[in-house]
Amino acid sequence: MPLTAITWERTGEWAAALCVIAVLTLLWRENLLYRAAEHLLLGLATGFLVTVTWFEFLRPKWWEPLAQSWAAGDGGGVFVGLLALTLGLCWYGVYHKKTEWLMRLVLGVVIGASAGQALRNQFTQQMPVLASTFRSPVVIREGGVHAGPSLENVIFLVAVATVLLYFFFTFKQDSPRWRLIRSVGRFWLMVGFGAYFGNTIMTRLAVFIERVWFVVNDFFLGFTR
Amino acid sequence: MWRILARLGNLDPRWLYLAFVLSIAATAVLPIPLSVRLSPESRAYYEAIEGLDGRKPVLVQADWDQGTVGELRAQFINTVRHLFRKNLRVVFVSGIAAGPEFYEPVVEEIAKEYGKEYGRDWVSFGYKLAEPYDIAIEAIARDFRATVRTDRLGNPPQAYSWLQDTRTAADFALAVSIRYDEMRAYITYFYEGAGTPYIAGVATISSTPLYPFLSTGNIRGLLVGSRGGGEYEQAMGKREFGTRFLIGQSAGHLIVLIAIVLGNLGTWAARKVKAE
Repeated sequence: MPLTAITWERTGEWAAALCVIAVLTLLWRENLLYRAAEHLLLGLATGFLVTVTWFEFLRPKWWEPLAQSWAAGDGGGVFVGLLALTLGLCWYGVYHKKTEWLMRLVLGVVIGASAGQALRNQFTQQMPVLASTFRSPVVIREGGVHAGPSLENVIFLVAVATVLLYFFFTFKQDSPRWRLIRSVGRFWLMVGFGAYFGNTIMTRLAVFIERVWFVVNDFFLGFTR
Repeated sequence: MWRILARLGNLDPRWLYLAFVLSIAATAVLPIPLSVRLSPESRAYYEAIEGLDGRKPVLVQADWDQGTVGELRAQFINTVRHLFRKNLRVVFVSGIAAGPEFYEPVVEEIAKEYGKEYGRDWVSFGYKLAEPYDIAIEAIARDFRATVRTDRLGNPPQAYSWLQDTRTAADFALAVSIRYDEMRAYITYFYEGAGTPYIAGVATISSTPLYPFLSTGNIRGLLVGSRGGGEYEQAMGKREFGTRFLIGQSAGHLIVLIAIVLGNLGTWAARKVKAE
């Protein structure tokens, strides 16, 4: 290992690699090194978030317009800035029982806005998806029946119908016919959950691979370059 | 024989972790060839960009950071590469605080590769889409200038001649988001509201519920995790990070599959030993 590899420029890599190794030691067992890395990450993330909130949001979107309005004698601008400050501070009402109602005021505004957005989203996002489930079991193109797409649609319709019936609780479903339908519905649900689970594994694995590569390629092999 | 196999069911998982680390580390250094074809959703993503004529700019929301770099970096690199290769002008924004720290160096590097200049071919407005995202996207769709205000040099959008007419969602040719999950607000405010198509690059974990949106055309194209990144990279005629990452992922999956088989074999053998 050449000593020249340990340079000031590589300090960031050193810190990152040591933190990754410290976090991965949890795979061996719970230990002090892992705890230290965990707390370091939380502290850094919190500090970073506070800084970014000020420099990216509060300063350009609130403080600077307010200060400019104040300097220009623009009463309207100052009023808007102070109103935003007042409403923002209302959130902190949650920390005291007597002032909790202040937080509910702004929370109500946020929930109202979100509910309005959600209602619109239901129509623009979900309705086309809902409409696309109404498929013909027989696909006719150029005057003939297409077996492949027709079969695909039949399977799709059976899956949709049986899954919906699985969640149909209005009356008792203990006859053999209902049990069969529920079994088919459960099968399609398991297919869906399996896809979710497989995709979850892939993403978790991707995070792990990237970090292992970083330690091997950029850090350890970096010494040989 | 059965007794030896039965031990597999009680194997210390730390051996599995070691096998995992070693197999993935090996893919970091060993050159292993791997070719993949474009899946239908990746092809749709590719064609959505390929079909643009360059009259309007493209909006790219780049929300990848350290937690998603493995899955999304190749998607982002090749999206930018494709946009620059098509001589399209690009507006970058981010919905996460660390976003610009990650995407700007990458864009600068690719811009050099294609001879593109900041201000002439692309601009970066940084972290301008804060939560709640639906409201942020609605704001950018309604009034782009007021929402982004200034770019990283402190210039407003109208300071750039090619952005002088860009005011609402309708003034963009395409909206692209590359982030952990999709940004469905683009469907509402860009696609449904202004007719501007939307394509997304997402982490694999978020992809499962998106396929219905793909089949209805609400999302025009989709890149799914590292697979989407690798496929897109090869479609762009490159074999770099995305392709290598697929090899690492394949090695990891192989270890998982072997472990599942051995674990089941161990349980089965243990039952047999107990029955004897």
